[in-house]
Amino acid sequence: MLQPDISLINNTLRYIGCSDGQADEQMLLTVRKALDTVLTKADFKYRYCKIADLADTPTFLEKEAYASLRPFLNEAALFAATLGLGCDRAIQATTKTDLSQAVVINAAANVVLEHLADEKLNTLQPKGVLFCPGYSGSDIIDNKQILNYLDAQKLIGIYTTESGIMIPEKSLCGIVLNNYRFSCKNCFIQSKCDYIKKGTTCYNQ
Amino acid sequence: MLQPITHIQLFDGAMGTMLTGRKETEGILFEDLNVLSPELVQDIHRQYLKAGAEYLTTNTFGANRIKLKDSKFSLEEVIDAAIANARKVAENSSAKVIFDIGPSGKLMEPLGDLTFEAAYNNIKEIVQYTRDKVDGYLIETYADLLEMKAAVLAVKENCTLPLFATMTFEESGRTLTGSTPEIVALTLTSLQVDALGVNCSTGPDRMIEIVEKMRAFTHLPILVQPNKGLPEMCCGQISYSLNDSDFAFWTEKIVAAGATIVGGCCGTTPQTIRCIAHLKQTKTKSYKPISDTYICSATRLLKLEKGILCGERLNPTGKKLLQKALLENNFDFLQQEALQQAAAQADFLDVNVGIPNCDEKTLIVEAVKKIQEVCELPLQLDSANPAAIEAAIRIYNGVPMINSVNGNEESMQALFPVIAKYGAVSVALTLDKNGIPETPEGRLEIAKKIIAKAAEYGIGKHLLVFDALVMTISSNQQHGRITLETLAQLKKLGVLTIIGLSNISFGLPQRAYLNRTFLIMALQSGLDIAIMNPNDTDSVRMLKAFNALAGYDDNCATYIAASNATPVEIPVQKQSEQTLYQAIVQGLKGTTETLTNKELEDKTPETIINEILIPALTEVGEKFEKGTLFLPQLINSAETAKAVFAILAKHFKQIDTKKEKIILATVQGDIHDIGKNIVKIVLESHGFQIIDLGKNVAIEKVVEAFGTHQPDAIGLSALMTTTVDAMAKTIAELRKLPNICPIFVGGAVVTEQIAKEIGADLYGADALTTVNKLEELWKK
Repeated sequence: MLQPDISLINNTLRYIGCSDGQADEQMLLTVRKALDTVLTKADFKYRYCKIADLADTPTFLEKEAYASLRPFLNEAALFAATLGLGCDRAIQATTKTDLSQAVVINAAANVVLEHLADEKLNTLQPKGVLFCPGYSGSDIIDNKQILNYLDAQKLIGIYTTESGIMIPEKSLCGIVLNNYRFSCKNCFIQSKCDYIKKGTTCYNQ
Repeated sequence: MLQPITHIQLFDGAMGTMLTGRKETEGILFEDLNVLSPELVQDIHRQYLKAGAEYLTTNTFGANRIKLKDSKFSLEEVIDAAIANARKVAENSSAKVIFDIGPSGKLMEPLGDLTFEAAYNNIKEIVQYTRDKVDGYLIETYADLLEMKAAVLAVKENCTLPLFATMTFEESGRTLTGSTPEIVALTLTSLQVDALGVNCSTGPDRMIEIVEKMRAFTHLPILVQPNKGLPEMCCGQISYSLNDSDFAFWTEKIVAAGATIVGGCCGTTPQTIRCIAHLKQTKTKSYKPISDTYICSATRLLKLEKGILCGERLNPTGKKLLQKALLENNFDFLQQEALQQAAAQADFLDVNVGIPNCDEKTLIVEAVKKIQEVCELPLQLDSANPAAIEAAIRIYNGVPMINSVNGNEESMQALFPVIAKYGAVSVALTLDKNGIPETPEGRLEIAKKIIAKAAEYGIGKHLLVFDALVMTISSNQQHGRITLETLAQLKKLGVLTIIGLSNISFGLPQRAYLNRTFLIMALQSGLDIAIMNPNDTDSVRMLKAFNALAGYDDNCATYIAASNATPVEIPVQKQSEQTLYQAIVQGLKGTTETLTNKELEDKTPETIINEILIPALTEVGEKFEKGTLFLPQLINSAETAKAVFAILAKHFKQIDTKKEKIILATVQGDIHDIGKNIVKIVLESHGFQIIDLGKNVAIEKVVEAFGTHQPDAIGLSALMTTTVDAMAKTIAELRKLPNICPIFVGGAVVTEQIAKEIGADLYGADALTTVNKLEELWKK
């Protein structure tokens, strides 16, 4: 089982706005406890399929928001992953008794999901970065097509609401792109982005 | 009704697998093929019939109003064509045409956005349309027990045809939403389906254990339709790991484990079914209904036996805070109380919402939903109103206890049909229309009458838990003795017993001593289940100790586990010199009461607010903005300040510590509410009154709440871009109202610009900014 190592701790701290070295003992303890909860409750599952292997090309990729992705699609794949409903339940219940801890568990769950997804993506071909619907002005509702192609509801239990929200909440899906470089150009939260304010980005450059 | 099964019966195999990979089916919904390519669908049915299938399942897995959205045809056209295809093949054979009902594809509330009523109506519509055209129904591949319950009720309440109900399990051995095979079997048996079981899931090898577990909890036929091994994605197609003879090998083992009907799911073909057709020669065993007593939630199974503790704290009698919470629909309070009792080692929880002038039926349904949202313990649905009990049992996820039936004919006639229909264990009070008998013998006679009457409804005595009735010894000192003797007499009937413990000491001082002593005396006399306060740690420990000493706790395992359990966290003040100001800044919630009371010794509430609370919150805000204090700490400080406000309000009611009233809601379609909850606690810490409408709130509910509460502001939250539209629509509707208050918005995707575009008055980038902007607004 994954252990709450220093990288997971630091990334969780980053999620709650606490930069390196700013956390006191109490905060570190809270984060460790949250990671323990998440790692106990998480049931990581994923699906993956090269776009070239699909029976047809997903129509959402024809949208303008995905134009910059097109040169990379020959080598691309669809990917979805989830921590399962256990983490959602833990966050929901903790919210009722200790909102502060719930916020940290929520952050820890995001970190663990990203960590496990990255780890898995590194073992698959093609390797690359994950472009998720919602990035760069694309529509989050396109999640539905990706999940349908991967049969994700049936095989790994990711549902979507009418508005395209994934359930379990700690789920992600997107397109794995080799050699693609992200840009903040079309991101709709530029005006309030904490990363931009600090002169950095939410992705590895 | 299904005819008695003497030999193993055979369902067909996969329809989807047979339709996949053909040129003529590319890009077409499988359900549409019923209309577009009837010969193809009929040919598949025919192949399964030839392979030996006795049940042909219609090609209607996704044919329901919620799921069938991309079809070129109406739902009725698809259904008619599907049934006609199966009927054409089945004619002149003994094969039955079974209408296939797949899941809606939506997740039920509270995890998702599908309501119980919507799930029920989705299937009811199908059953009413098809009941004269098919021979039965198969509800299959369901992953959520509550959606399954809605579907089962929709079938059973609208026809009398045989009903097969199977769920899908993950590698963990539980369904997606966490139900075990035992829980599924218990719940579906209680709902009286004709056959229950498992389909899809993993390969047949993994299903043996599931069938064994189900068999221990049902006497009904078990239907098993496994996939042909584990699914693997290869070249855009899903393939399955087993060959037909392997599948047959494992299916034989599944039959040996207790299955009575078998077939195939994903990956299986007519050839697969042919390979297991020889099993039809195998005689089935007969199984007896279980005689032990269980209740369950969707994820927790509880055997009712000696030494079980029912938490009593969710009953408003004598509890002013709970009464207030129920009056205000403050379900957060109920959820917290439930979680606290669970942490204090209650085995299940009593839920009673009976307060004067309330719609108990509506209130108990909402309370049960909310408690089940966060608490895994099974519940006891407690009401004197049979209609309220039926409403609650209907939407309850699992098999509940109900409280209670009694020896009155009227009571038994009202509740036994409900228990028989939905399945439940019931508390049976040993009283009748003449009141509570003064003697143990009188109470025993009533118990016998209840057992006999229950049997007329097919309810075994193992589903009744007899309340020996406790009355205070302050009015008659013999009351304790009568209860104890009644318990002893009841045990001779071979039934379970229960009492509400604390009644014994009503009206006397030092009640805890009487309660604890009476608990041990009652256990010694034959008590099985105590309804009591689990927060009374000594009573709980004595209960566990009794079980260990009396030999009811194998290897003292429960006693040891309870002794090692982490005690309920009650934060204590570690530094006696801590000030209230420091406690707020540091977010030390547990220190609030002592420190606030200390300050109240020489300060007025206004002074505490102006000289301690507000400056402390200001410091917290400044530190947060500077990035030297972080969100979890901000929340802790806010919760501490909120608790201070509550104490000030309680002790000095003449002082109005409340400021403006604000409605908060996460908009329709959005099920994320952690951000809204943060804003709520920070606003409360600054003294604002919050009316929290929750998440996924319909536009009309926000509009209605404005009319009801006449707030000073409305705050709307949205996490996703797709739900900003619902935010805009909510604002548009609110703007139509006369004298509408200021509306502020926030959430991960909302920006200042979006706020302006959708017509909000204020944009709150985070909780603190929201507070500052509202303070500024009202200062003006």
